[in-house]
Amino acid sequence: MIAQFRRAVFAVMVCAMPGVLWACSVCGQGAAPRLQLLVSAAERYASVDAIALEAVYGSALAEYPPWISAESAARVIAESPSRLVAATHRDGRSRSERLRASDTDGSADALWSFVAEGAERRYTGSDNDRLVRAAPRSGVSRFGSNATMHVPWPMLGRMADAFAAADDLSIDDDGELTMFSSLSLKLRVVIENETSLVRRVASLARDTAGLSDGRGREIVAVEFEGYLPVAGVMLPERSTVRVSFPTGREDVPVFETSYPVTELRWTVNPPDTEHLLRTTPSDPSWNWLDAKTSDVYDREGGTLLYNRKEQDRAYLTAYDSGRTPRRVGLVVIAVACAASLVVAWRRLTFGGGAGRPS
Amino acid sequence: MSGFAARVVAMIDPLARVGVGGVLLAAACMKLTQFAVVPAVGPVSGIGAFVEQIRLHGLVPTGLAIPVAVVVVALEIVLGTWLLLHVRRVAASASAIALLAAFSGYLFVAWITGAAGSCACLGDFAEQSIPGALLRKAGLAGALCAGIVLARRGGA
Repeated sequence: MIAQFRRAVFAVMVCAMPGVLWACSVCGQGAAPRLQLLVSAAERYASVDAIALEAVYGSALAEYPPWISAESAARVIAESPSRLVAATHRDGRSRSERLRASDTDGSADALWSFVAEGAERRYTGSDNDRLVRAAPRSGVSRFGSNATMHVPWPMLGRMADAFAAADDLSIDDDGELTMFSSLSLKLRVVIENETSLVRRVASLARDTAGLSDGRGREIVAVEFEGYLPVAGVMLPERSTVRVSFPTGREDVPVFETSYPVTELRWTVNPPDTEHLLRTTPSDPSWNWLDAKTSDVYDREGGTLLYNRKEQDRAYLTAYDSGRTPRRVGLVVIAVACAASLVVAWRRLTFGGGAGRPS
Repeated sequence: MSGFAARVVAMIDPLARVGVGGVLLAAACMKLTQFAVVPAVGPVSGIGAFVEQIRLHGLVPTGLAIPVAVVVVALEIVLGTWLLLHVRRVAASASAIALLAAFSGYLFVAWITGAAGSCACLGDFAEQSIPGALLRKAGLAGALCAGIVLARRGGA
């Protein structure tokens, strides 16, 4: 009887181990990269309508590459939707299960609706509505710190709804609105420091004088859009200002009002294309971003710093490179563990090793 | 202790060794196949991502990050395999306990200094808080200790 019990225990262990490791290999494709891709997919989906967020997910969520396309992100996520479900369980099991059904097609729409609705579902209304409406309509305001991500305005607004309803919302002296929630992502909305804003805009006005947009066209005017935080609470939407100024001006009095810059657009001569100016994760200085291709040029506008398609491919190649070896490795480990259990069982049952029954 | 109970207890030692050995090997596998996006570096895969995580923690001199990462992964593979082989069982268990204690010490320092918010034990497989990681390591070490003690009492 003892031998049968022992045999049953080991048999269960041996049979269960490959299954457990296989399940791990399927669902354990890496939460942080997938969450990065999830958000970047939404960002790409909404094109340039974005604001900088700092995301705190454990400590491993690093800067996501802004050049990842929604299609690529969706493809990666769709490869293992179970991980996505697991990553979103904290936001409600029912929602996660519905996502699982809709996400299997890997479409950016499904991802987008998940992110937006996941926050919207927690919306409680009341005074928070004012706060949300006051959020910037668009723009990228800051890079450079760890775990900076960009999400489109509609998602930010809905997330702000959800997070503002939480008790743990705070605004520090630097004008950073910090919002934590029980969602899988903890987000901090970064509002540009007012002092640095003035400096940056004035510098921009000087630095853009005589620059071209990389196509030989001189930049003749820069437009910026901003919003006004007052006493830690953003004013309603109508407070958003949009100002255009010619390049090369040393004095830019309008900006002394210290509106945080959320987006900078420039006009070229001839004005046939709208461009966006923003920083990049690896280079916090201002660079040129082609609004159409998402390619990033250096300050002079002539050198291509980031080719979105190439970076996209490199990102996915790096991501994919470990998937198959991981599955193979886990299978090998499972087999080794099973074999080890068999050896241990034989030693216990027969004594000493793989000899005859005693 | 009855004969039945003694034999059941005798099973704890091999099961603990196989369990811990599997976890160590799986951890090495995860580290070698992980993927991360590192600020100012970009996408990194494989052990390079683990190296960058060690650098981000800042507890090890930057120049030592690579050898430390290699040694950690190598130790996990060697000890994991040793545990699965059931050779010199007590020595294998004791070595694994020492390794787990060393990992725990590193994580504890990272925790109290705020150098890291989560452990990089399993690569990008799972985000785990440092207290959670410490508990897991304590559980693994405890299982090995129990296995050693019970096996000695049972004369196994």
